[in-house]
Parts: sequence; structure tokens; C-alpha cells
Amino acid sequence: MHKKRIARFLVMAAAIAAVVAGAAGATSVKSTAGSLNIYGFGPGDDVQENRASYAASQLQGVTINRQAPNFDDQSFLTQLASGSVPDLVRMPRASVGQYAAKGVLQPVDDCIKDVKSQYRVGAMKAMSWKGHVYGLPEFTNQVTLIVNTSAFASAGVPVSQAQTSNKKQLLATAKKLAKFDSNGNLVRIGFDPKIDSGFGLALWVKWFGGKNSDIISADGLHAQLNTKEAVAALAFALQLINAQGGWNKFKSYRDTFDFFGAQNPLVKDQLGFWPMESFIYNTFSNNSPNADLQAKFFTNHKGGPITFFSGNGWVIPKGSGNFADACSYMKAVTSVNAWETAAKKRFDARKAANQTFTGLYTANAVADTKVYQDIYQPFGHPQFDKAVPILVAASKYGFELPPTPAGSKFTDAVNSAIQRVLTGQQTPKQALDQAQTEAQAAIDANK
Amino acid sequence: MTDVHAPPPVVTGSGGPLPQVVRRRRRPQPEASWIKKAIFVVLLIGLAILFLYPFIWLLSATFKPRGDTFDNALIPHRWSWNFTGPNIPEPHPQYLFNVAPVGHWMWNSIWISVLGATLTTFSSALVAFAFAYFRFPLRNVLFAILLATLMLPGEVTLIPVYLLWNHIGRFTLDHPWLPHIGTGTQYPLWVPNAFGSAFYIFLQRQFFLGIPRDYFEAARMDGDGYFSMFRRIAIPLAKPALIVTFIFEIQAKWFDLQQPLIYLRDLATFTAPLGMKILFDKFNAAGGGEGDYQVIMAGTLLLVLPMLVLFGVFQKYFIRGIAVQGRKG
Amino acid sequence: MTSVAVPSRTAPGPSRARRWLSSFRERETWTAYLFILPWIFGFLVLTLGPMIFSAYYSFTNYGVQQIAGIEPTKSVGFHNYKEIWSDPKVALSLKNTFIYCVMMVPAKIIVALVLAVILMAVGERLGGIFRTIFYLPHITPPVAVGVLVIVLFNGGYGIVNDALRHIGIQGPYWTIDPNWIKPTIAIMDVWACGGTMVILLAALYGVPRHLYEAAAMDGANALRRFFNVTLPMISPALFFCFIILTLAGLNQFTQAYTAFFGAGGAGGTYGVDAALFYAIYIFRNAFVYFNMGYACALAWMLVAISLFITGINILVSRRFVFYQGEQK
Repeated sequence: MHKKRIARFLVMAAAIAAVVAGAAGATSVKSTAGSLNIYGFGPGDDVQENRASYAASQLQGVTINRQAPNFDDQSFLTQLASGSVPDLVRMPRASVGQYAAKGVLQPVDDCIKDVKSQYRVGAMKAMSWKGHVYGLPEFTNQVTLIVNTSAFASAGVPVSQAQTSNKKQLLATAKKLAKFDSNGNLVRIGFDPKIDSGFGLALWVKWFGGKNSDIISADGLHAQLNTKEAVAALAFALQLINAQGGWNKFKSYRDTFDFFGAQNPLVKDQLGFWPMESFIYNTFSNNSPNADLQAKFFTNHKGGPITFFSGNGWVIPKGSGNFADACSYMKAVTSVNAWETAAKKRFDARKAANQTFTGLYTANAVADTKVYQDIYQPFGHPQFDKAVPILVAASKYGFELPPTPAGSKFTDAVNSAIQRVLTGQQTPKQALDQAQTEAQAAIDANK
Repeated sequence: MTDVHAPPPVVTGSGGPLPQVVRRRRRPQPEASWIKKAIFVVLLIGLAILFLYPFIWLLSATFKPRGDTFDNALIPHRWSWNFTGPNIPEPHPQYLFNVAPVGHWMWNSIWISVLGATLTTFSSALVAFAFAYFRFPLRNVLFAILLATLMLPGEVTLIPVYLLWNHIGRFTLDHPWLPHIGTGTQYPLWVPNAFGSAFYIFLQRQFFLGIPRDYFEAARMDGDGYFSMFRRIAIPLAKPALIVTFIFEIQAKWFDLQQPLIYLRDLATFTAPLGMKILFDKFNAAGGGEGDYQVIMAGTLLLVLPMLVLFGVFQKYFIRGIAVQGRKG
Repeated sequence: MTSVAVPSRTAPGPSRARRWLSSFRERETWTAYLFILPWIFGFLVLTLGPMIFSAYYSFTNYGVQQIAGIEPTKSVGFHNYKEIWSDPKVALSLKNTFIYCVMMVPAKIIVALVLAVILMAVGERLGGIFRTIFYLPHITPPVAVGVLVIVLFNGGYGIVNDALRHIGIQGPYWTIDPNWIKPTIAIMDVWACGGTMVILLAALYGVPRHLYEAAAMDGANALRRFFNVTLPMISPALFFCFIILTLAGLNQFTQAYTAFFGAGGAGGTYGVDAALFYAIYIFRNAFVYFNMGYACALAWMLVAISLFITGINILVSRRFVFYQGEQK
């Protein structure tokens, strides 16, 4: 009968729904001692997996659940609000200050007392707020200049002109390396200042040196976005881009790049030289081991090397069900042993595949030294081998943005300002004035 | 939904009024001369190609290998099956069903759409029938309130409803013997459908009003209770309106991005539109992704196809349902 | 619509008020309320209740710490509303939304009307298949539309600029140039005008034929017949579409969010100022920054604006919309 069929269908549908929803909701449960629910440390490359195995081996008898997705502010806040709080979180260091200021993280000063000295000062500073430390840092991802030597050769420009200290020469080199086709479209970008990346503005402002070379004050409470130096940095980046076709053509062309594949910009001769984080060397040596490149320091106005650190950090949120194990895991996964184990395994794998091992660059200074001294050996491909010492040395000149309570709103203000300048809607001064107001308001609202 | 306009009598040369038109969807209109028609047809063919082109482009791009996606060729130069394949990590091109639980996503969208549409169809029918048939105090006031809610922007209830589910979620977490219901689960996506929806109530009420009361009075004379009268008479007669409600709600759920975006967290629980958005973010170079556009295209095709199939089967109900909205007057 | 039968005032028996009250005791009343109970429950719990709470939260500092119980909820008076006034992003998102509405609504109605007129002119049989074709974009999920916007309108190698290049026009960078982002979304919306077209087509068919004949006999040509007969007769449908499309435009979210805002994951959000629609800004405040109090205030702003605009539409319609059965 009509009604019975409908009723039966509804009951069935409801039952299916309940079962499916129940199965789907299974991961959102409150954790208990003896189990560890980790967010932001999902499946990753060989180094990540080996470190995870090492850390798990140090926590015998604890059930460890690594949630798959990458860290996402929205998701993290949702979890906090919904009451199903993860026990341990890996998040970008740039966000730690924001969450610490909000009071949603637990300080770990006592727990990490014994290992604190192993870690780089700049990175540890980013994990601190108002005198307390909130976790441990991971990689440094330092920025160096990557030079596409075959592009320079074909353009007849000596590689020595791939430098950042002399801005006039930098502009000229960029123009010489840029190539256009008969329709006026870019077929090779000479120099990409990467002003719209995570490190862009900070690095170019640091170039000036001196007291106005940071975009946030050391205590994280004062935005310094519309200083003379910041305006000049942004204006110079704009000048570079406009000399290479203008933002529309530049961005459109850059969007076609495939950095993580075999047809990367080095192989396809799409980029002349540009600053980028250290992980890209590993990717390139993996995908295109025979590509011609050279690593150089990013240098400031006086010719001294500078580099920018960024990366993830481990924190424990308030409401974590298992503080003790969370802290032990955090220490284990960033320990010297973890990094050494992972480095050795990668080295062996690379050697067997006749590729190059380009080193590991972490915030654990002791680990870095041991990896470089005990495990690393040059072999295989000289261009990558020569890059490694540069990367190692660059770590000495690293700086990181101080933690700020404004977190993502600060980054949004900066990014929006840069976008407005690049798309020609405002001058650098106007855009950065606006960013300064927005960023300072965000800081004041959250401190 | 029935067109019962009676044209006013007109004195024409031949005398007598025009014939009354009952139960026909339209009146015959004067058609243009054949020259004009031919021009219009050519114009329409041109426009049709323009309108269809994005679909054709999508279909073609779905079967192109990575790197060819933007060559804009109508027929792919090289063919590639991008849905399934060996699971080899980057830099090898990826396959749609390997990179994400797309099967789960499609199934989630299907069962949530069907369940939600069923619930809303019948709950709205109950309410619509009551507003159409029964006489009861405050009826006009309540109906006016219902109409007013149609104009409400969704955002003003979006946040508190989310917070409500959040509280429910915390409550069920604190009492682990309860199943976990709240944010992070799929319940918020379909449970509200059990309470009817103003739009469909309005639509169905129009329909019920068009049914002569005698039909119902006859059943009541035979001693039927109100609910059995509803079930035996009203529902079968209202089938067209019910079908329209059902397919419109399926379409609404299949389109919805915002609700899954704020409620769902675990990848396997996602619905198709949210899943495709995530895929797009992941593989879209402009957003910092990795450039496997062929995966994005395959996923988009999977997102679009069920709607085309639904439309193909229920075409006349779609058209009828939309057309009647403009007549509410 | 029949109303409750009310006997005349002068009839003998109980007063009107008492009759009204006693009708609550009738079985029909109770049954009716039982039938509409689902909607009443839903209205209280999912509409009215939330509206009240939303208004309440808009006067507090409700955020993630308050939800998680780390800090208490404090009243902040009108602070959120004052902040709306001074927040440059509010002005920006409102401006974006209005500009988009002004572009999209007339364009969609005009294109839909033109298509409907042509379809009617070629008759039902031929028109049927084209009507289906023009309707298809309307049932394309908005996420797919957002994806198509990015891939088809890419400035360098998208097919739109490719085609333009063949006829000698250098197309703009639709998805990067801030001046072209809103027009691009509006264009894809016009592509999906099938729903509006069907409504207007039904309305066109509803125009009584004798009016055209009368006008033709008075010597009106096709164009004058269109403006003096067709438009007034379909004005209720036009008005309906205008209101619906305006409300939809004020709430634009999915296409723009898909195309220009990241859902997190791969590198966070890559928002674009020119595509920051008001609904997206509310969403970000509520669910990315978890400033619930502020987001609720923003939502009430939208209600006020929607009411205002709908009110204006209705007032304007009094002058221009002609309903059948009224005196001309």
C-alpha cells in the first residue's frame, strides 16, 4: 500500500543514514589517557613517515591516531568549539602567537626544559608568547636564491650577476633574462621577487638592515608595515614585475608552472632565478636530477647573506586529553634521533636510486649538525652537492617573524595590500598605510 | 498548476466568444512568418552552441591527459582515462578516484539528497494541506509569517543554528552512550528537512487549493479521519506537486556548498560539491596547488552529470515547477 | 483564498470573540495544528529562535573562547555595530555585492526575455528543444560554475580569450584583473538564466491573444505591441524575477567562493578583494575567524538591507506592475 511503502522506505533511509553518519562520526570522540589524537600531521613524505614511526616507537603502549588532513585554521577552531579537541597539533609557527594569545594553547615550559637548548633561537621565539613557550619547531625552510644556469648561459649573462644586493643590477639582469614571444607573451620570467609568497615582504624589508627592517616589532605588538623601507621594498618588487610584462602577464604565466612535477620551471626554462624555500631542492633533485642549477645566498644591501625561516610547530591545545603523552611525542618527533633516522633512510634510498640527497634543514640545530657531519655525503650530481653547503650556511643568518596575536588577520592585511599594489589599484604607500591600519587594529583587538 | 483562466468574451467578426480553454498549458500564439522563423532558428542554433559550449569543453577536457587540459581542442589530441588508474605518486599524473574518496562523496550526496528531499516533500505536504483545507484560528497570521520567512537572508540563522548543533554535539560528547550528533556529522544537513520548508509549503498549498473541496468532503462523509483523508485523497492528487518538490530539493541539496562547508570535517563524510571544491583547491595551480587539472575536470563532470540525468528524466516537472512560480501573482 | 466564515455582527448568539475562542476547541482546529506542527517546531527552533539568539550575540563578544568555555561571554553593547561602520571590508564587500547585483539582475532578465521572445516566435515544437538547451546551465551546480569560470576565462590560455583573439580582440585578464572579476561572475550567471527564461516564457504565453489583435488593428507595429502590450502584461512575472534575482544577488556565495576563496588545506585562503561579497565576508568572520558576535551583527545588517531594497522594489512595482483583472 502507498503509505506502507513510503513508511518502509523512510525507515530504511533513516536507518542507513544513522549507520553511515555514525560510522562517519567515529573519529570525533573524546580521547582518553593511553591514546593520542594528533591533528595536522597526516600522511607525508618518507622523512615525515620515518619520524612518525620513530616517535611512535618511543611511546610504547599508546594508541596514536594521526588525522589525515593538513592543518587548517577553520578546522582547528571548529574542533575547539565542538569540544572534540585533538591532543596534539602541528600548525604553522606563524599561527602559534595568535592561538597562544587567545588562550587556547597550553604552555610546555617544564616539559621541554631538558631539550630546549637544541633548538634554534629564532624558531623557538616564534613558539613563545608572553614569557612562556608553547611547543617545539620543525623545519626551517630557509630561503636561498636558485639560479637556472642554463637560462643564464643561453642569455649570455654571467651567473655572477644573479645577486640581490645591487638593485640596479638586479633589475637589469632580470630584464636580460626575461624572454617574450612574438605576441608579447612571457616565455621566461627573468627574476621572480616572490613578493606575494609567505616570506616575500618580510625578506625584502630585511634587505635594508638596521632598525626599520622588520614588519612587526620584536614583541609582536606593533605592526611596522608602512615604514619607508617597506614601501620601498614593495615598490621595487612592483618595478621588477612591471619590467617583465606587468602583473597580469606575469601571474598568468606563472600559474602554468608545475613546480612539483618532472616538467618543472627549471627543465622547461621558464624561470631565470628566484628565491625559494629549501624543500624545493629536494623536489628538484627527485624529479629532475640532471637539471642545471646553482644555489646562492639572498644578500642584503651590504652583501651579507640573510634568509627567512618558516615552518610548522607542535603545540598542545587546552582541553587535550593526554598532555603527558602529547609532550613526549612532540619531543620525540623533533628529536636528534628522529631527524637522524629519517635522514639516514632517505640517504640510503637516494643512493640506491642514484639520486642526490640534499640534506635536511630543521629547527633542531644539534640534529642539523649531526646530519651534515655524520650522514651527508656528496655524490651523484654536483650542482645539488654544491647547493648543500649554501643551505647549511644560510641557517646561520636566519630570522623569523615574531609571534603576533593578530595571526591570520595580519597576513591577510599584508597579502591584500600586496595584491592591490600588483593589480594597480593603489600605490605601495597607500596600500601599506591601509595594511598598517588593518593589521594594528587586528593586533589591538586580540592582545 | 492547472491553467483555468477563462478568456473574456470577445466579439469577433464571426460572432460568439472564443472557446473556453481548460487544462491546457498555453494558448496558441501567432507564429512569425516562415522567413522570420528561419532567421530566428539560425540565431537560436548559434546561441545554443554558445550555451552548450562549456559542457562540451568540460566533456572534452575530462578525457585529456595532464598538460593538454587547456589546449582548447574540441576533440582531444590524446585520450586519457582520468577516473581510475594505478596509484603512483607525483610526479606521475593522478587519477580522480585515487586522490580522494570520490565514491564516498557521490554516495553521501545521493543519500543525503534523497533522504532530505523525501522528508521535506512529506512534511511540507502535511503543512501545505492544512493551510489549504482546514479552517482554523490564526491561519492567516501564521501563513503570513511563513511567507515572510521566504524573504529572510539565510545568514542570519546560519550562525545560531550552527551553534545549536555545536551545543548538541558537546552534549553528546559528554554523554558517550549517546551517538555523536552535532557539528562534524551529517545530521545537520538533512534533519531540518523534517520540518517542512516555506517555499515548498507555499508551492504545494497553491496546488491543494486547486483541488475542489468536494473530493475531500466526499471522503469525510464516508467517515474517514482527517489524516486518512489526507493520505488517501490529497497525496495521490498532489503527485505532480510532490514530484516537483522532491526533485527541486534534490537539486538544492546537490548544489549546496555552504552547509557542508561549515558542518563537515572528515574527508569521507563530504558531499560531492564540497569534495569538488577541495579537489579544485588542491590541484589548482593558481591557488598554490599542483596542476593536475585533469582530475579537477573529471570531478567536475561527475558533479554535473547526475543533475543532467535528473533533468533528463524529470524534465517536464522542472519546467512546470519553475513556470508556476511566475504565476503566483 | 477562503477565510474563516464569520456570521454577521448583528446575528443572535455568542459574541464574535467568544466564537473565535471556542473554535479552538473544535477537532478541526486541533487536527490542523497537528498537521502544521512540523513547520511550527521548525520555525521556532530553526528560524525564530536563531534570529533572537543572533540578535543577542550581536551585542556580545561571542567567539571561540566563549564557545569552548575558556572565557565568559561579555556584553559589548553596540561595539560590533560601530565596528561595522568603520570596517573598510564591510564597505568593500557591500560595494562589491551592489555592483554585482546591478550588473547581474538586469542582464539576466533582459537576456532571458530576449531568449523567451525568440522561443515563442519559433513556436512550440522547435522552441521546445532549444528551451531545454538554454535551461541546462541553470541545473549546473554552482561549484562547477565556479570551476568553469576559472578555467574558461583564464586570461592567458582560456577559451574565451582564445576565441576573442581569433576575431582580433585582446581579451582582458578576466579572473585576475580586479575590474573584470565581477563582470565575469555576472556573465556566468547570465549563462545560467534558464530558470528566469522559463518563467518569462510562461508569462509570455499567458498574454491574451486578443490584445495583440486589438493593438494591431489600431495600427501598432511589432515594437510598439511589445512595449505597450507584452511588457505590461508580463510585468508581474518581471517583478517577481526582479525580486528573486536581487535577493539571490545579495546572497551570492558559492560561485565566488569556489573560484576565488580557498577552503583551507593547500596553503590557506587565497582571497581576492574584488570578489569579497558580503555573504562571503560574513562566512569568514563566523567560520574562519570565529568572531561570532561580529558576524551576527553583519548578518542583521544584511537583513536590514534586504528589507530596504525589497521595500523599494514593492513601492516601485505599484507604479509599474499591472495585474490582470485591474482597471487599466
